Amino acid sequence: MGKDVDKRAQRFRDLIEPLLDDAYTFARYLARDGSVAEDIVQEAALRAFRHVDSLRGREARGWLLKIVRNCFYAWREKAVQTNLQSLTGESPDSDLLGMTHETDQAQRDLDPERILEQAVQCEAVREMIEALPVQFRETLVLRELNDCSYKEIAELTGMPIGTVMSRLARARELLRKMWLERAGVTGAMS
Amino acid sequence: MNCKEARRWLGPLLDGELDARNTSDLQAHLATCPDCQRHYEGQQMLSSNLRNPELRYAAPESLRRRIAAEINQSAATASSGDPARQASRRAPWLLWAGWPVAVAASGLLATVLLQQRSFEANAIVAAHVRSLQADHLNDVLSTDRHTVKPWFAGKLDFSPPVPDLAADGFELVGGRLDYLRHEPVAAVIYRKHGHIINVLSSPTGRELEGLPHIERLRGYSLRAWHQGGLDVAAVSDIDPKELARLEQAYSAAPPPAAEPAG
Repeated sequence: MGKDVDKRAQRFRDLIEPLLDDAYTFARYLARDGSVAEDIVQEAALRAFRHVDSLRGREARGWLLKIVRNCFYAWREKAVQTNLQSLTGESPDSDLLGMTHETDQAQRDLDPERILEQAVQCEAVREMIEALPVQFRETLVLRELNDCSYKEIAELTGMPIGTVMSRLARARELLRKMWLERAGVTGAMS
Repeated sequence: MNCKEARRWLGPLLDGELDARNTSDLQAHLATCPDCQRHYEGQQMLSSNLRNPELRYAAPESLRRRIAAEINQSAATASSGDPARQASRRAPWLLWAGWPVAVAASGLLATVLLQQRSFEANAIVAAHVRSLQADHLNDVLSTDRHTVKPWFAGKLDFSPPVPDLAADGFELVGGRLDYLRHEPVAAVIYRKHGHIINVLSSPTGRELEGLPHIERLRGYSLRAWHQGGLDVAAVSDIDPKELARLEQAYSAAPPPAAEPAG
């Protein structure tokens, strides 16, 4: 039995450990909090360790990200249950309210696609991603930051590919609007 | 291809996810439609900004060390043949959510874990039913928590909460050792409206790990939760609403350290 566990530990080091940055990036954008993300990744890693034998022949990254996602939703459900919504900051509909009208103005004043060329600070981009409602956020992060294919995203979220596509399109559209607004504001100031 | 269709495929084109035929149709459209072309360039720009490696996070060293330590520790406990007492540092919000979440992690795994999960629930209902048979309910019969609580000392390596829930209508009946997975767990027994409620507890991650928060099984209600380093499960044939009330009251009990001695 000890040998099996040693083997399992070795498999974990070979397959899972190299993916911890991916896991943490995903968790961090989902949870929008460093220490919660750490808890999520730790839990996910332990589960991955326990079940690493079942990984045979499957793609480790998608598998791990799926576990991370499950851990995140478990945390979120619990947080909501215990009335900690304020901690998650998750009020999906209000996230983007008040963001759209000014954008129209910015669009009229400036050539929008030009604005996208303006460099926006890294921190600002993070904030924009974090402002997306969770279902768009996770799809976007998986695609752009974890470099997952549509098929991988579909598999690990359990959504049909069509939904992946439409969520991604929506995420990009929302982000584009935020981007325009942000750049428009700084553009107007300079 | 019209503009509306074209816009829809811009993302997939960008992501390298568009099939050959649509790709060539779309490229033909972009060549003749400056508007869509501009849109495409905007998306490209956005996307290349998002793929900035600086937007990714590195897993903190402390996290890596913690994970490595847990792995080594469970490898060590497993090879020494000690019953697994890992996972003591698990985030509390994940405790009851554990198995169902893991279930979703894998198709093959799902079957195994679902069996395991209902095994757990079944075992608990079985323990409850067993306790209702003559003379099995109590090892210590007392309505006084200061008699029941010390009774567990020396029989278990942990101390289960034995709160007085009379204010909520749950009358303390007694305590008992029960066995799950061949390991002793604490059972604290309450009664309300003639229904017996068994409240089982054991340290986190051991005999009571992995129960769903709420479960109905063969006419019995089960609730599982986590408190003060323990996994707790309540089982009864009482109205599920009452069981929820019990959970609320029981889990509001102060942790053992905060209780007066005796």
